[in-house]
Amino acid sequence: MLIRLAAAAVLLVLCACSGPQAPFSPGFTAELTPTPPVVGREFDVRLEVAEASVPLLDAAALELEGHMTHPGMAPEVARLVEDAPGRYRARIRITMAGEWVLLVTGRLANGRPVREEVARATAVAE
Amino acid sequence: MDLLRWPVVGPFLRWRHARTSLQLVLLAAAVVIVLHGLVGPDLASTNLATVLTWVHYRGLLVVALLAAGNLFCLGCPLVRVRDWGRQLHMPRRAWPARLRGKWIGVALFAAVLLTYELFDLWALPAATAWLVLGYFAAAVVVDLTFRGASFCQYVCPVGQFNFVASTVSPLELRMRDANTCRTCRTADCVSGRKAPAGDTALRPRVVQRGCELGLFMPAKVGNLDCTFCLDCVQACPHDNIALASRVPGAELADDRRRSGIGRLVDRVDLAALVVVFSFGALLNAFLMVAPAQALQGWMEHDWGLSRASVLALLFGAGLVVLPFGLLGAAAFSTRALTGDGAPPGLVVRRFVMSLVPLATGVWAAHYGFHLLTGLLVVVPITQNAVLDLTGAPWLGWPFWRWTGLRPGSVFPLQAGLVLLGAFGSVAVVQATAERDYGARMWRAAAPWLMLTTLLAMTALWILFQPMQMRGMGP
Ligand code: SF4
Ligand code: SF4
Ligand SMILES: [Cu+2]
Repeated sequence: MLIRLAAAAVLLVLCACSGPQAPFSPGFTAELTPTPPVVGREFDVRLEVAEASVPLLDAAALELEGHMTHPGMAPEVARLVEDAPGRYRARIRITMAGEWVLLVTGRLANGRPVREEVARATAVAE
Repeated sequence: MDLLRWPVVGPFLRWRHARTSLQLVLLAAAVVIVLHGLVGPDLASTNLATVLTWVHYRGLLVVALLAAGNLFCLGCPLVRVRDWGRQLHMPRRAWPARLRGKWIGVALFAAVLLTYELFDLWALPAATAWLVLGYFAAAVVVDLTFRGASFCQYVCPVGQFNFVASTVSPLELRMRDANTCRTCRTADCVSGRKAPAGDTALRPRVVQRGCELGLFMPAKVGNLDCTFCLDCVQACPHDNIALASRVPGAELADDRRRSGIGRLVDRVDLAALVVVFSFGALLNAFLMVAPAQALQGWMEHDWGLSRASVLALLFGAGLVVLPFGLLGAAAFSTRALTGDGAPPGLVVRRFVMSLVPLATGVWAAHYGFHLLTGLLVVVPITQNAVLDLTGAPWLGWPFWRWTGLRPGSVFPLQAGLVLLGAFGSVAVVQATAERDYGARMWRAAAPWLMLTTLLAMTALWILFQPMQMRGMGP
């Protein structure tokens, strides 16, 4: 039994390492207003992406995810809206004071996953 | 009522491999925790290590203790791995007499609470994975060196937590019929069932081990030190053990001599364990609300202290100075009001057990909050893990909307748990005072009722504060 479990473990680790496609980081810079974000109110995230990545991206296939660093708290998810080529905007409402991590996730046209941490913010109570 | 006689549940619990099967389920979870913790995403809220450990395991553990009993010791995967290890190497040594008692467990319990705050363990998947591996390593090393359940009884911090909280569980293992035990010549429940005589060996071979924690069923009182392992049920040749319902918490005022433990009032180490369990409940909850973080920030900036020293001060104050002052004051008041000449330490040991129901209520309110608000996040995180691992959404795209109850909606339940605990504590104070002070019971009880009220109000105040989910993360 022990041996079988160990084998399964090794297999899982191998899958994880030889991985499918590593997620792609397009190179976003983010600007939040207001800073710090206030609990219960929406705030704006403006994103600008590195020029080289612009042709690869399609706003419709991207989302902004806000996760708390504390496990078990509800994440917030918002659609990205394209303002101009390479410039995106999202509005997100956060529900709890504390540390938030903002990620852009989604896919490229060729199916490769996108995942990039674009900002961290400590939300404060009103 | 005896669960071992129920349909379905009974046959399952009496099945020889019941414990193993539960252990294998939790072992599989531990393997997932370790692997995802080490190779999965760094972000704690998307990693199964941090979510399963700090949201689900902690929460379900407390729920199980309140609803049934010490089910997580019953299914503990550390013991499964230890037993595999013991097939290769049987320890001969007994746990050193000098190290008996709960002091090591108390120190480790406090150390785990401090480490958790100091390093923001909930925000660190890899560190959480290493912590779990550390538990496995410690359990194997201790229990391949020493016989019996030395790790559970003297070392494991989670075990000590479970033992204390299980005093308010509604179920316990106890003898069915006193006469059967009185005429029993073998005491297999504690010494193990041997192969029938005439078997080859000189010393009879043990075919079913007895209680590894040395609890002798006819003299066992309550749940302290019982891991719910059901070894005694398997071992007793007279089928004389029941998993029976009882009044939760009543054993806290029971000063009979207990098998394996002695009398509660004689055990300074158990009193210390209850203090860390009780004040630790408040401290652990306090450290996650906004005022605590304001206080910490203020101590860091205005006093120029490091975070480590601030936490050391808060833990020293919360787990040592404050309990010492409050329990001491209550004990002196009881002495003054009743003219009791007993040493203050003894008065403390008589009444300190009354903190347990309230403290268990606070742990349940706190961990229940995380469990209920984060119950379903395990679904999108698992989907996300599969997506990361295989590059394809085999379980669908993560349902990030699946979370749990809204934080605000959990408050009434939290307040209810604290109040229920407080009522339990009042009942234990009353029973203790009646037991030891007779006609002067209300004078003896008054200071402890005030202490219960004070702690319950503190707990409600903490739960009412806005949460601030800090954690620097990676
Ligand atoms: S529980 Fe069973 S083995 Fe233990 S003393 Fe009673 S009859 Fe004997
Ligand atoms: S063998 Fe001991 S620890 Fe296990 S269930 Fe029986 S009394 Fe409890
Ligand atoms: Cu918490």
